[in-house]
Amino acid sequence: MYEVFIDRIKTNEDKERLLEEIEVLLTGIYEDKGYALDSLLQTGVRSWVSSYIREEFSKSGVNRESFLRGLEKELRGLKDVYLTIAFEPTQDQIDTMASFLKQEIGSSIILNLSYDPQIIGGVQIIYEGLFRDFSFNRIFEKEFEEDREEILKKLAQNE
Amino acid sequence: MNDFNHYLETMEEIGFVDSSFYSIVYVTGLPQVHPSEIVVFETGDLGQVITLTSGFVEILLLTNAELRVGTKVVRTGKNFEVPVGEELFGRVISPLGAAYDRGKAITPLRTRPVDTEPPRILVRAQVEKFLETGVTLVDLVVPLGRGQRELVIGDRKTGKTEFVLQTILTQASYGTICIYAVIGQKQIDIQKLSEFFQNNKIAKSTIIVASSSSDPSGLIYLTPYTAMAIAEHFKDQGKDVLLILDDLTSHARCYREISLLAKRFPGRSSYPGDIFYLHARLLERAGNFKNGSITALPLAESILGDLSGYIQTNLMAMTDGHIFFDIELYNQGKRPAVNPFLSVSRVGRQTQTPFLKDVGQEVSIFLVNYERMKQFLHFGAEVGENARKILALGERLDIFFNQGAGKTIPITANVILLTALWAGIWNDTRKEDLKREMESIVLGYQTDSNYKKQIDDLVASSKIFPDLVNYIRRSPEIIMDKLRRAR
Repeated sequence: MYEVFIDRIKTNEDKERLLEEIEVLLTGIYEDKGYALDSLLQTGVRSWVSSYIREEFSKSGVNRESFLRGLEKELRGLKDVYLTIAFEPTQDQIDTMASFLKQEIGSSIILNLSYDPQIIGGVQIIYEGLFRDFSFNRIFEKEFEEDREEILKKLAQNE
Repeated sequence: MNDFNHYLETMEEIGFVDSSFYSIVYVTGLPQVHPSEIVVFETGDLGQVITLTSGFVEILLLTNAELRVGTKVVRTGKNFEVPVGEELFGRVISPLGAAYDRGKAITPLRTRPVDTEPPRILVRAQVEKFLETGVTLVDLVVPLGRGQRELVIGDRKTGKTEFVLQTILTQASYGTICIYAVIGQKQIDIQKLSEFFQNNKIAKSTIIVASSSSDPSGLIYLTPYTAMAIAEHFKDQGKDVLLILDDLTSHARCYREISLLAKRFPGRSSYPGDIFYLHARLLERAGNFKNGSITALPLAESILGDLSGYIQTNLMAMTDGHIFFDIELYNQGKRPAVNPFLSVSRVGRQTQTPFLKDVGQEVSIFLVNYERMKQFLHFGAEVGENARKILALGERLDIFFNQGAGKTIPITANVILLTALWAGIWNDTRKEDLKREMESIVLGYQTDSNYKKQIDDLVASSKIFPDLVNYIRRSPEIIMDKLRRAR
């Protein structure tokens, strides 16, 4: 029932925005004999959200409040995958990352992206309390750890 | 201890603060964390895992911190350890092992876990050696043994701390390592304690583990465990350690605070159900061992002389006796205000020589008779010759037992003074002069090595107390000569 929404949102920001829209819709359910909700669906939410919700509401036997509450619960239950990357990704890149991760882990995840140029490249991942550092920073540190003195010596000679 | 990033890289696990409630923090994540493990927050603060639930890790904060929701936290993979070793002598350290005084930072050469299982029965030994406190009444009537766990209990300001300080003074002079755990007290008291050790030149064999009342409750809670871990380090080296835990009622209150915050079910007086286990497990780590000993003197505060409080009775049940400081005796001007009738030493007598046991019994029996006579006098009864003698000797015995704070008297000097009192040497001396004359004998004993040897030999050669009393009656010169010189 909620797969369309879950598939559509990729990042934590998307999730927060959708939650705000649900909140707005929930306030309109009992206002003005339900007409307020119709009005809010036209003006208060994004068009794709509006069209999906209208579609669901048009099905027979759907309780509007239960549907929205259920969607809210589903969204809050999504597990965060924290990714720290060294660049600000485009929407295409976000979509690629999200679809890859959803394919690997499952659909009930959401990307929580952060930007840290100090990691140089690669990625740091946090998922379900586990941390993995695949950043260039760490790789370089590891490399330099063994040859640090030699490199410093060479640098000193060049100077 | 390493920093946040080090543990993040090595343990590869992370959690996020979900909510915090005073010193209790609820964290999500950290899938492999285990109970009692130390965790490090990205702010540099420390915490200890107290409970694991399906959704959260419950953490007790060990530093004064106000953490924000979302703060990162990492595992260390280790339970809490403190630095131990000789470099701690003369220092005041926090329960985390950091310098509490203004001295240089403590660089740990060795560390030791603070929470360990108590040693098993096979490594324990019977309490056999006498532990001199330097306090006349205690040494004669409620003697202590090395490795004994004796509760020191009494109302506020009844001289408990003075007593333990006298014991430390005496024991430090014999080379015993003295560790003082100050549990959630005022900063000024911690400073005074440190100054006391410095001024009496015993700092070199003492260590203070201190937490003040303004420290986080997690830190106060850790204090006696850290002190015990340090004591165990020296005990394992075959040394004798005297450990003061000042005081365990404050510790229980602190644990109650933590437990209530963590929504544990409250039991009697709102204390959690495991408070007995907690203290018993701690005190079981003390004792006499085949290799070294830890004599533990936990302090407990009573209210209005009531010994039947929950924590007080718990502690009585897990120690080898108690010394009760009576507020009424204190108000009557008795120092120390030890009530000999309500004080118990379960293993102290067995450590004494037959002669000292005899002395102790004689004094105990006399004190009972003296007390009975005093009760009898309340009815306005006319007293006979025998009763009058008992009362007169009792009054002199009270003066003999009266001992100022910071003054210690060796047991042999005590014995010779008591013998002289029993032999009637001071029968005609005015009460005002009695204490002064007794002090001159003690001074002679402490400063004149020949005189000390003479008295030591005399006491050592005596088999029973009446023999020594008779000897002093026959030849009172040993006392009188010294008194004449002093006069």
